[in-house]
This record gives sequence, C-alpha cells and structure tokens, in this order.
Amino acid sequence: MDAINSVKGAFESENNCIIEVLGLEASDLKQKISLDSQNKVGAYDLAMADDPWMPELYEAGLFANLTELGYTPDPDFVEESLAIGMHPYSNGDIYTLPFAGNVQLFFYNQKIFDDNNFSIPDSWEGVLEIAKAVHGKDGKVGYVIRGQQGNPIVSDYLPILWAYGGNVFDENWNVIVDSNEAKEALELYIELLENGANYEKNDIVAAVSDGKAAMSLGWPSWYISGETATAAYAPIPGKATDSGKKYATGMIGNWMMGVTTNSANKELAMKFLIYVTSAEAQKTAAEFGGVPTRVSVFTDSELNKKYPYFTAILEGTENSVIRPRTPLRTDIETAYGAELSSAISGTKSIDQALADAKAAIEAIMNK
Amino acid sequence: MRKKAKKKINVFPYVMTSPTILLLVFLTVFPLLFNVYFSFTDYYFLSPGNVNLIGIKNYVNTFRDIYFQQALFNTFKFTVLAVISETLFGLVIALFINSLKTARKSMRTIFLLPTLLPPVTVALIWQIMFSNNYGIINKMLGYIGIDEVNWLMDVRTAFYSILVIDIWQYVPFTFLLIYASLQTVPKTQYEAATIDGAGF
Repeated sequence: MDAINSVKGAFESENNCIIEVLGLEASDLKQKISLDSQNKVGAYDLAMADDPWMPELYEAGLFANLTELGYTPDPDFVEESLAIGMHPYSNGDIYTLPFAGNVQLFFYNQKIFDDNNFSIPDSWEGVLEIAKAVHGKDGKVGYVIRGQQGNPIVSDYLPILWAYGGNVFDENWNVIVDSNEAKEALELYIELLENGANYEKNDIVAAVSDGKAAMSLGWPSWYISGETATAAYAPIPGKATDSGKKYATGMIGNWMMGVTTNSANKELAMKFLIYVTSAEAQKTAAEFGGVPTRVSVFTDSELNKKYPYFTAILEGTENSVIRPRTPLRTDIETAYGAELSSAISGTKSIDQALADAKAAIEAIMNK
Repeated sequence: MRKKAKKKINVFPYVMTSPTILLLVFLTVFPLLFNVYFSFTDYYFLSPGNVNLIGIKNYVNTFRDIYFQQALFNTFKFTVLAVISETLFGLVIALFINSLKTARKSMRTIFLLPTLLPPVTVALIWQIMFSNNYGIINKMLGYIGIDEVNWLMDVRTAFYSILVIDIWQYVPFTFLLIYASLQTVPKTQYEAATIDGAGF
C-alpha cells in the first residue's frame, strides 16, 4: 500500500483524477473483490491478487482482458512473472500485470556456516550433510521444516519435490504425487526433520536469525526488511544430488494487479496499471518496501547496492516454478498437506501417505 | 347488561423490541436460512447466476470426506475431555475458594481473569509460552534438565497443548457457576453436616 501511495501522486496530477487505495488483509481482499465482481458496476477499478488465486479469478471473469484493451507485453518484466498474468497460463491473453515480486529462497545462518566453513549447498544431499553436521551440537538445529498441515507443509516440501524432478501433476493433469521421485523427496524431507525440527513460521525465522538453527526455506519478507536481512540467503538448491540434474525450484508468489471487468473506468485504470508497474514507479516503490518485477529494476546498480537481495530474488524468479494452475488448488493443498503431515509424523508410511494423497487429489479433480 | 370491556393490547414492548428483532432477523435469521437453502444447491460464489438444486449431495460429500471425519472425531474428543476437565477443576477451585476464611474476594477475581480475555489473546499468549525458541515453558523445563518439547508442532503433544489452553481459559467459567451454587447452600446445612460428622 505504501508502495502504491508513494507513486500515485504524479499520476493523479497528470490525469486530473483521484486514486483511492484500499488496503485489506489477503483473505478479506479475495472475498471483497470476488463479491464485487458480481455487481454490474464494480466498486474497484483495479484489484490486486495473489498468484495462486489467479486460475479461479480468471475463470470467474473477474479481470478484464488487457490484450483486448490494447495492451502489448513488455519484455522488461521477468518472463516467469508476466506468465502468471496470462490466461491460459504462460501463453494466453494478458489479464493482469506483476505488481510485486516474490519467490521462496533458501535461508541460512551465516555464523554457523562461517564457523564450520560450510559453503552454500548446490543440492539437497548437501543440505542434509550440513544439517547432520550441525544438528545436536551445542543445542543447534540442523534444518527447520514448516510442517503444519495445509499450505505450510506443501509450500515447504514442493521445492524439494521439484529438485528431485517430481511434481503434483504431469503435463496431462495426471496426479503423480506418488512417483519414485516424490518418495525420494519425502524420504529426504523426513531425514531433514530427523536432523532438525518442525517449527511454525515465527519460530523458524527466530531460530535461523538467532543462530539456533542453520537452514530453512522461506519467503524474503520473513527475513528481509528494507536494507537489512536477519539471515543470509540464496536461491533454493535445484538438484537432488551433487551430480544430479538441476531443476527450477523457487516457488513463485507474485502479487498481480488487473483492471476489473466491471470497472467503469477501464481505460484510465489500465493507464494507471501500466504506470504503477513501470520501471520508474517500481524504482520509487522500492524505497517503500516494494519488490520489483522488472529485470531493469532488479539489475539497477544503485538499487542493488542498497538492496543486495534483489539479485537473489531475480535469480530465484528466473528459476521459479508455479504452483498447480487449477481453481481447486486450496482443496488439493488441504488434502496433500494432511497426507504429508501424516508421513512426517510417522502415523503413515511414505508409500501409504503418498498413495492416499494421490487418491484424495484425484477425487478432488473428479468432483 | 354490561358490555364486556375490550382488552387493550399494550404495544409499547413490541415497539421497543422491534429494532432488535428486525436486526436479528436481517443479520442472523435471514442469512442462516439463506445458507441452509444454498447448502442444497451447487451455488458457487463466483458464478451466482447458475444455481441448481442438488439435494443432499453436499452433505453426503462432506460426511464422506475423511478429513472432515477426522476433524469431527477430534472435535468430539476435545469437547468430552474439555468439559470433564473443566467441570472437575472448576469444582475443586470453587470448593477451595468457598472454604477460604480470608482473601476470598481477591482470590475469586484472580481465578476469573483468564475467562475475561478474548480467545485470540489467549491463543497468542500461549503460542508465545509454548514457543521452541523463546517460550517460557521450555525455558523452565530446561532449568530442570528436561529437553525442549515441540508442544504445538508435535502430533503427540499438539492436541493436548490446545486442550490445556482451553481448560485454562474456561475453568473459571465452570468455577463461577459452581461457586454461585455453593453460595446458595444455607449455613445451617453445613452446621448440620458438621454435627453429623461430615467433613475432611
């Protein structure tokens, strides 16, 4: 909100209009824009949305087709971010533009790494070795997983699954959560837990920042604020083993912005959307905590000196993976998360948990 | 012959209560009935124009869902354990406070404090106390040589940790009910019981 407010003034004076910005908590935002989309004339000309919501919102026709309104794709946007704004994903018309960048990163405690002469691991095998070396010594925790049911455990486990070459669906939407790759990834995840701990988000951040734990995955905003970061960071390892194939593993989590279908001011709204996502606006917004989505802003030398994490976010975004593009994502996450949680807690074997997850996801997809 | 006097209807109470009743109807009763109706349809809030009646299919799907079944079982187990524990602890505390000769009022106030806090505040306080990093409970256990327990994230302890929180917050409520009942017992009954040899 601060980022938008920081740039809207110039647009208002140039276009003789007033822009009112309404800040809402995520679930409230989704509910409000969804309900408003059913009105003949909407209360909002533009709306922001988290990228996992997009399949549902696109299918519901909440956002106006920007391509039909005359918008042409700007190649300065990071390709992976711009693809989220397309419907169908990555090759359809453009409906939204990436407003705020975000991608999961690998966070580690610099002091623990320095004291033990560890280098940033390339593979998950390497992460496990470090976790084993650290865990239990002076009360330290090797690796912290975020193993609560639902979104936390799924977000925490998927990058490892991707590094092993696995996925939730294949290209034909067959459920493949019980593949050999998935079993190996879950075995490693459980080994990481055995050489670490299962904490909730605030405890993860505190543990890695204070040097109680060595490593975790996380979103940049957990550890990075303005020019300072409480833990060191790097893109998520993309390989299962040091000699294995490298895959894209960074879970992308951009916030998108689009013109609502029932907006009474579509042209002006699109003009503002282009303005607020422009390189100039993103540079100004960066001073107020905004994370860019354009290559030229990520690589701007002055901004890079001030916000060195931009490089890691750009690299992570360029090697990122999108969560399954289905409106049923929330139900899938609930079922998948429950089974993953059963596996890590030992109430089900890996084979059983993944077979049950497959059955549950298939049932959801067949509803 | 005298005409029977017409009974006058006193409209004043109806006028006074009507704003509340209207609010209740519009904000509670109507949405509730609306939801019950929609539970028998395939209503989807993003495409409200296309609504079909589907009978009890939503209920069948819900009760067939293994995660719902698990949640239902956990809720039942939680309710039984919480009600029994809260009643027992409430009874013990009420008997204790009732037996006090001094400081009864201040003790009563202190014991009532947890139930006055909003559940969100209680959840946050206990989340901090149960924390692995800075939680006071693990710190205190550490002083007596007990290893850190992952209270809220370990499947063996999470359910009971939440149960403890609920008991902590709602024991004062059962205490209050039982204590109020104890206050109504006449003194003579205690005296008679003492003469008969009752007591600890």
